[in-house]
Amino acid sequence: MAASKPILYSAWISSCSFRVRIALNLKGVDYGYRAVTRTDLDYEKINPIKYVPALVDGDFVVSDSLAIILYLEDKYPQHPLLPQDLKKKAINLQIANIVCSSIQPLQCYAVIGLVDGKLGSDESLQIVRNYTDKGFKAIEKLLEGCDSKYATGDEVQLADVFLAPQIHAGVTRFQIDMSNYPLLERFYKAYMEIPAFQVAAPEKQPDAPASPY
Amino acid sequence: MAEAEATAGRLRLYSYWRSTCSHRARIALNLKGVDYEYKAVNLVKGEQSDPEFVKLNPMKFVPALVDGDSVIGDSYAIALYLEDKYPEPPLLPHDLQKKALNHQIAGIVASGIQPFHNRTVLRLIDQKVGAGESVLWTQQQTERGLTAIENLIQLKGRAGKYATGDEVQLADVFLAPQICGAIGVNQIDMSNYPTLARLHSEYMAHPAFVAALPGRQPDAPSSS
Repeated sequence: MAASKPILYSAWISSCSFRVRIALNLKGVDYGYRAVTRTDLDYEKINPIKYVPALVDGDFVVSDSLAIILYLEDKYPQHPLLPQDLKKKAINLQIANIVCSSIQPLQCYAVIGLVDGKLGSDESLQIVRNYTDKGFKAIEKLLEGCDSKYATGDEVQLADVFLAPQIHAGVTRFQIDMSNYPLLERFYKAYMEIPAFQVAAPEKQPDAPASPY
Repeated sequence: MAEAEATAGRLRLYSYWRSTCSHRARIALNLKGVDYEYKAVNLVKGEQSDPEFVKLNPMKFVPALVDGDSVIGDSYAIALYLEDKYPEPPLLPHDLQKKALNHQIAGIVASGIQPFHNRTVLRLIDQKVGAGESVLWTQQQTERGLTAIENLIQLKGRAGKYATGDEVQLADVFLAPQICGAIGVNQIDMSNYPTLARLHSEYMAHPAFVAALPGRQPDAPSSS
């Protein structure tokens, strides 16, 4: 019996959704795309906790990009995103968590604050840049001396899946000066040559507007 | 470092008594029965900016775990490292959906709640947006996150004695410090979260969790 393909509830501009799209593409998993907006009331029926992205796999719903990606890692072992070596695995998880716990949530806060009128545009941008720069500076330091193609080796791994969307947002939306982060800049150029990353990019999604930025 | 050689073989945890992220790592170490050396980093005094510590963790966050020449400066990465290195008792189930639920709960805590009551964030929000803004924001985010977790646990119907069954799992490692903080620091009304309130009482009866409590740490101020 053919299994139905998983469905990804995603927003074009969401870097959390971008991460999952990359992971699905790297693993060669065909999926259905359902666009969700912040004000989408029907989404609550799919995912009562309302977070985006969410993956629906049969009757199973999982949200939180790291939880989704670790689920994909187990279910689709091809193109593994986590190395066997414990030290290397830990650095991948550390970098992923710097992105998803120390940069992106604050970016999200600043953007929503701006949209809701609580923050001025200067304050909003300053918060985003403050946290992006702090995180990128730390990751650059953690990876000091790295001479591999990607963050932790010559294969794309979990750290890369989390880094690419964060750098993309920094470059396209928040005027982050990537010349301060030569390693990350080098990785980003390498990521954006990979079809799995290109196809996952926000501006390529079905719900992206004609003039995205 | 001579200090490192003196304690070779023993893990070292850089921690602050009150940090919920450090609290997670302490619980995980205790659950795995791993003996470790406690190195206090006083966040109030700014010790996270000491050059020696910054070398260990350029994010200037606690916890950081040192195991020989491995340094891991993130509680999630630490928990999964310990899970691999010390498989018993397991913190993640084999069942993929139950495993995903654990990661999802941990993720809501680690990415959806804690980042908003991190000390540096509170200072920044008060400075840039207005004094007191951080308090309201923290409460809103905490309530939003705890509501999400309460609803998720009830929806999935897998809770037992603990969040996802009758064994302590990763979700509990992340939930316990968050609930402690919600009660102790954020003055959240736990009557809105009956499942989480019940889990809290289970954690308070579990030795590994009790030993990890902020007030039990070497750097906690002694009660007079």
